[in-house]
Amino acid sequence: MNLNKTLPLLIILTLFGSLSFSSEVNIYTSRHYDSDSKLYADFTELTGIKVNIISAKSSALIERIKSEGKNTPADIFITVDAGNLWKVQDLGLFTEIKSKKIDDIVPAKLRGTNNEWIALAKRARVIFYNSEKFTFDQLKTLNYEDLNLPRWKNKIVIRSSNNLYNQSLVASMIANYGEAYTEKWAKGLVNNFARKPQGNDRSQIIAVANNEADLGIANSYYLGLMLSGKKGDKQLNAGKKVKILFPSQNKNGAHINISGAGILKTSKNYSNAVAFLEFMLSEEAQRHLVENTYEYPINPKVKPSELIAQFGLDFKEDDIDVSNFGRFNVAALKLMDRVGWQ
Amino acid sequence: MFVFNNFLHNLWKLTPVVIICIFISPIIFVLASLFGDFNNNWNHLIDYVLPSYVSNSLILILGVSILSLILGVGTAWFTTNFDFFGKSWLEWAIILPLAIPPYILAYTFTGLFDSYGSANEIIRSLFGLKSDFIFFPNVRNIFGAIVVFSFTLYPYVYLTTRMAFLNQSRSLMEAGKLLGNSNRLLFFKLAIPLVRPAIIAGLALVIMETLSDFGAVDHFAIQTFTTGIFRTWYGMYDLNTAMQLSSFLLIFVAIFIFIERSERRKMSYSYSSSTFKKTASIKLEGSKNFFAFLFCFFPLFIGFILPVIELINWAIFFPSENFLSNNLISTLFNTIILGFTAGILCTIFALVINFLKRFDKGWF
Repeated sequence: MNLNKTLPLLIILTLFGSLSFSSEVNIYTSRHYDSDSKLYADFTELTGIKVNIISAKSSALIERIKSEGKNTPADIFITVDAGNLWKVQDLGLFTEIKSKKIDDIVPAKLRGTNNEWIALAKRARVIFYNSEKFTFDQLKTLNYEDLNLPRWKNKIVIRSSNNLYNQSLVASMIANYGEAYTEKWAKGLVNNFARKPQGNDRSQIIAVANNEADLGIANSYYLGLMLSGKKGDKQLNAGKKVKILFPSQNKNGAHINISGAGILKTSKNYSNAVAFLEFMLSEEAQRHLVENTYEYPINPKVKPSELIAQFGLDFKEDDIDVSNFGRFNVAALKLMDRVGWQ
Repeated sequence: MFVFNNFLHNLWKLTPVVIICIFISPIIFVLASLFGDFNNNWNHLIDYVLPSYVSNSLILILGVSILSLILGVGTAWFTTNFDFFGKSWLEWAIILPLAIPPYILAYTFTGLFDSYGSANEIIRSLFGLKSDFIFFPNVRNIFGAIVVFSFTLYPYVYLTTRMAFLNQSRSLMEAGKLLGNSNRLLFFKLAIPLVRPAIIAGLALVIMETLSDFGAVDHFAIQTFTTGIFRTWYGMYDLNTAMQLSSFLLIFVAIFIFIERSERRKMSYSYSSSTFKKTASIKLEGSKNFFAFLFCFFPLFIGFILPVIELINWAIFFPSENFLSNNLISTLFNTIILGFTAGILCTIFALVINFLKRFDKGWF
């Protein structure tokens, strides 16, 4: 064996070998659903691209990306709430997602202005009521804007102002109505709290089921989750007692937020990242997503899970650009401090 | 050769300095923010949230101090001076709650005592009550937090106080008794003042841990410095103000570190003369026996046994679909590696620093 001739060949072969194994995409995600792992596995099976995940809270991941700078291994940042996506966009860390497939599926109001990020799923922040206490007809004209009225004194539960979903809701009010109106509205809302804000979204729904309050504000998908039985009998039984009301149907529409993703400027696997995002918007992935998380799909060819669809699909959505949630986040937080929303 | 030896020797002496510098640098960095600009977010903080951060922190300190004093000193007194049912295992089991981080107990409490938690359900089914009957009070408030911190942190007070009690000379107490003092007077006027430095040292540790906790107060939705720091950093995108808030908290904590150190120096292990006699245990009978057992068992139950039972309950009856998923295994692996490495490193550093301190009277 003439080593002089075979050695270069060996080197080239090993290089090729390692190249094909190193086709990968690195994802920092704050989505906290076990069911996502199947999606990653399916993607790898389909394309041969390995998916590496680091999962943590949004804010921690954003700080990590910031401090890693040019050396960040992350290609994609997936998060919930448009506020988080806007924050990364505002820091200039996203690059444009160039894909006709994606452009065809995701409407412009659910994308960054220059395609810095795209929505992967939708959710609505809605009002839950006890169906043994109220009928739909009694509440169907209820607006977010009415929640500060005296008739709801001590009847409303919602979680703490620390929660980003609430900050985005208030941010959307500021974007639609301005700070002065929103502050007045929020002050009235806080006066109507049945208890000091505590617990997570599901705690609010359970409180309504137990008649500790008349109205609870929480994200739509939680009811799907509770009714699925995956979280135990207690939540299943509570879920059966409540229904969803999509507020503000004769005003701006129900408040919509997104799970979304963007590709980082420093990404070294741009085309793999685009391929992954296209996969996440494909019918198969969207179907798996919504069947497990009970969010609303972005791909129009996919129907949401029946458990959540039964409460209505043709509701009016607030058309506002979700970037505003990030833009007005700080103002919203300070406003909530001023009105004493703990 | 000699020069080389000398060089190595000096290098060796420098090691603790280097180690300490590395660990102190983040603190210096955070404290440095105090010398920068205070932007106008501070006006907002002062007007709307800082007063409640301060008042909540003070209420927490006061409440936790009182409750952990009662629990820590009381259990230390009983286990040192008396023999009662279960004492042999209680005297070490009492420190087990230290293994439960406050936020775990906080989660357990809400799982148990929320209006639809397990404890209320049990009461309802035991007495056949209506489905909206709530027996246990709401724990998601500052009183719940006081209970949580006290029952997980009292072992600090127990440990320091018990050590001091054990080293107390019996002859002192006997002299007090001979002079005609009642048991109660002996306890409050003689025994406690003698171990006061130890009590304060233990309390300082409790307070430091309370002030630096985030998980428990966040879960109970109580506004404190720690939650405020995160809210300012992540919610207002203002890292600088968050660092300044952290600095104030650090200074506050430093005060307690200083108190702990100065009290620890005052702790005397004197009375090593021939009149030193270890306190003998008085055997308790009847209702006194039962009371002593209950008093010592109760904190162990609330601070350790109850959360462990509830966690096991959750693990068995509410398993996640992917219980043995990759996520869980890698999380477990990371935790174990982190714990081991941190433990080993801390031990090495502590040994090096103490060794050098003892044998090398340099100007350090």
